[in-house]
Amino acid sequence: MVNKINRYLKKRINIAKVSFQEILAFRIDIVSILISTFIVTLLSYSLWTAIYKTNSSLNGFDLKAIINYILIASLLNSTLNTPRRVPLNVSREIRTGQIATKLIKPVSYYELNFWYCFGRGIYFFIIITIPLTIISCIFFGLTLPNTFTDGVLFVLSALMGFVIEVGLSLVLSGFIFKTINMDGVFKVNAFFSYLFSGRLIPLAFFPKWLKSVADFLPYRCTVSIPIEIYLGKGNIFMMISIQCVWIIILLLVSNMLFRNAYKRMEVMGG
Amino acid sequence: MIEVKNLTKSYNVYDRREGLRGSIKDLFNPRYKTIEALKDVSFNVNAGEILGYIGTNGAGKSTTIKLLSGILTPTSGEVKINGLVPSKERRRNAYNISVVFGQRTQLSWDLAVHESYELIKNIYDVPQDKFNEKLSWINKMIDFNPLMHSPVRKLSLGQRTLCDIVASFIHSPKVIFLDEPTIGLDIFVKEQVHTLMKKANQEFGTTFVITTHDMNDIEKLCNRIILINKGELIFNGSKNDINELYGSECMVSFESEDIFLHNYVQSVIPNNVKWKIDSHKLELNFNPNEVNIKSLIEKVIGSFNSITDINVEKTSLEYLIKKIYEIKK
Repeated sequence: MVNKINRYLKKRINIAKVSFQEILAFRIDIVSILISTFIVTLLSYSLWTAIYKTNSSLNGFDLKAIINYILIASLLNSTLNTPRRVPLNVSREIRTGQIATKLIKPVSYYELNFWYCFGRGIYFFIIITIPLTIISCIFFGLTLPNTFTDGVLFVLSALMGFVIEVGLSLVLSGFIFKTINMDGVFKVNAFFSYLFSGRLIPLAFFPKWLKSVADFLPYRCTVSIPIEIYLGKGNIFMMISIQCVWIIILLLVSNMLFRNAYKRMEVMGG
Repeated sequence: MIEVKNLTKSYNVYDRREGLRGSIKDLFNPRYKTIEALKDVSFNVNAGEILGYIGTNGAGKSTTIKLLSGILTPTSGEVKINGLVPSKERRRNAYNISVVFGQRTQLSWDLAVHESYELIKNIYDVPQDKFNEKLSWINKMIDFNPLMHSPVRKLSLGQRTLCDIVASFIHSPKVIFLDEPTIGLDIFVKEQVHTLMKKANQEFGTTFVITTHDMNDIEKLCNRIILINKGELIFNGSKNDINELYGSECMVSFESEDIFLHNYVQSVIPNNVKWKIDSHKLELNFNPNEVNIKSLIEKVIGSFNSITDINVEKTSLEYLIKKIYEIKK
């Protein structure tokens, strides 16, 4: 039994390891990413500081809270970009026929994509998120959460948020197998993800009607909920439950879509 | 090992209309047509056989491979590999098979070859000692070590294909499918590919199914041949069967300084010999059981004064296969 679990994990860890190695070998210009993120953060910081010159509190956020918010949102986003690539990858692999080499493996195409996100995500966590955290603390005054529990729950919530982003991307990918070009849909989704996750501005700042839309969508689980837990706002139990529900829904639905897709597949190329 | 019964695969594709008007019409009222890629194909492959699956472009070869490997689901009919239905029991079937696609690699583009092999080893649960054994076995036959440490993107097509074929051996599958593996390879690499496959077949009893239209592959490797044309199976047997059923033929060609004249040739050549003129070249085809080669050659040399070259060939597999296609039309 232990052996079985061992083998199960070993395979998946290896898939993640290879995607880590692949992005490592690809040589991204890390410095550019760090510099551009720094500049954007600086602008954001200046903007909000200016806004809060005439208000001490807005929509439940004081200056310290809003600054922490934008800093952490930026940190979370750096890893969330990874799962957003998956639908585009899948689309390309179907178009070129490359998917054929992956469909014959003893690990499902679904899982190959799932664990790919973790390998690549960890890479970006190490080379972008960690340096950015240090920079945020030194230059922008990022503060720690109020209690240790808050911190632990934040980490848990952020992880769940990542899994939700992966699940969402897999749901989208599940619709591709009919060989229509859905790349436009994916780009729109990336934008929705950016907007409704609270990355742009906190959801509390949305007009009421837009906020009620955002509350129904899973995107808030990726950025907004983890940050609210970090800041100690709101009903933590409720928010973690929402995340759990979304994880279950998204993983089930995406799994079903993939199984269905296998049956109706048309693979390009002779 | 492989059982195929009444396998049929059809697709619905867009039937696109021509021109700008047509494209607009297509947007509002798309039309579909059904393409029958495979029609009612049945055959068996026994363990340890090397099957050559031959067909012209678009005949349905790749579709068959995809159906056999479980990538596609049949429209009707049955496929079983070692008792498993590929499209239904993917995971279990995956351990039994390997597929090498001629123009696509399963290896990671930016990583060294051995990293991809490590991943394969892990995904297929291959024990480390078996893995090492396999690789040293391969090294005995081809000088493989220099390739192992190179990133895949730096390899030439031939080297990449070799690496892909080696990759397909790692988990010791019972059946290996190769979809046009030797396209674009030079003769030396082709030989290495052939050696690998023949040795694997002899030592491990691996069954091979190779789609190809390269006669060299077929002559060197395959003991059984299936011909596919427009989705239908038109021949299933051994190379010897082809010779026996479609008649072994002999071909003798003559080159002359003068042009061969139609009427004169007709008067010289016996009726049971087929002939063809291409200005200075005369080609004769006949059944060596019916016609004596020696006397035929002597007759021709005697009748035509300026023969400069003679070429005798037992009819090639290629010629016989063309003949089968023609007969079956």
